[in-house]
Amino acid sequence: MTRYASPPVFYRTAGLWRPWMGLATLLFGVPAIVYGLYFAPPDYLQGESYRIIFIHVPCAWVSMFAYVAMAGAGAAALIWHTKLSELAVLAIAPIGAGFTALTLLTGMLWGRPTWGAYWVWDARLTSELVLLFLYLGVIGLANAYGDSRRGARAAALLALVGLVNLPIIHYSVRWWNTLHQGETVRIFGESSMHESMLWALLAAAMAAKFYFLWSLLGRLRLNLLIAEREKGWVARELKLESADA
Amino acid sequence: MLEWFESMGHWAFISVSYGLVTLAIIVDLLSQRLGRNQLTESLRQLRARRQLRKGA
Repeated sequence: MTRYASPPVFYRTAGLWRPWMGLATLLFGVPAIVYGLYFAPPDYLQGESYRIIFIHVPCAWVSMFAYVAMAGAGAAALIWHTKLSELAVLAIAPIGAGFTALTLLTGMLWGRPTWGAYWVWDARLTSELVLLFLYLGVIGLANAYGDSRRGARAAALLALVGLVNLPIIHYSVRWWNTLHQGETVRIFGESSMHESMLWALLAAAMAAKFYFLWSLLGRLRLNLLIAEREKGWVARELKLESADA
Repeated sequence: MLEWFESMGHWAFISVSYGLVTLAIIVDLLSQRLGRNQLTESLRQLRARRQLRKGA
């Protein structure tokens, strides 16, 4: 296991895995989007606008999944001081922020035809907005220090503290009376979504997860190159040595 | 502008939503590519300066 924490070994292993993540994204994503846009029946109440669900819900799930991954990497960075976990925190934050921003924007675009408003200060929407601020805080804090490793550890601490927001996002529709609809898909128990729509949503969710992993591996590889730029293996990977010869 | 957009109906909202996701993917791809190119270029310049200092 520790072998994979070695930067050059991880860099090469991630490079081998990354194309498979990209392929899985396409294999799940293309059929899900085509089916969701053209073949899934319109909703009996919301009509066509519900089709935003096939991107909104996967983005929302990944926004939370990414945060858990970032906090996990943050915990590893604080406990074991491994460079790789510090870099993982920095790599996950912009991807998570992107997914959260997309969740909010697509939610607004779904909210207008459904609720008649782009935004309401509803518990689910507000807690998701707090999640975006947390991601932005992690990015800002990591870049606020002259010493990048200290910055990464401070960001890791904020990531851990922010974990408290995740149950609030998840249970907000149960704890408060919200305009946002309740859970549509349940792991345990029956989902309230019809099968003709559910499979496309689950496939889109898989695609979003694989895209997250694809992007994470790419950013982590780039962060590794930047952090280790003085090392010989980086020059070899970037094919700089042949230019010197 | 907003009124015109809203008058286009549900498919306008759907199109913008899917368009935003596509845009985000393009930005993600470009930022990764750009980051790698910038790093390669800065390291190449650094190595060239070191070579010059060695030669001087």
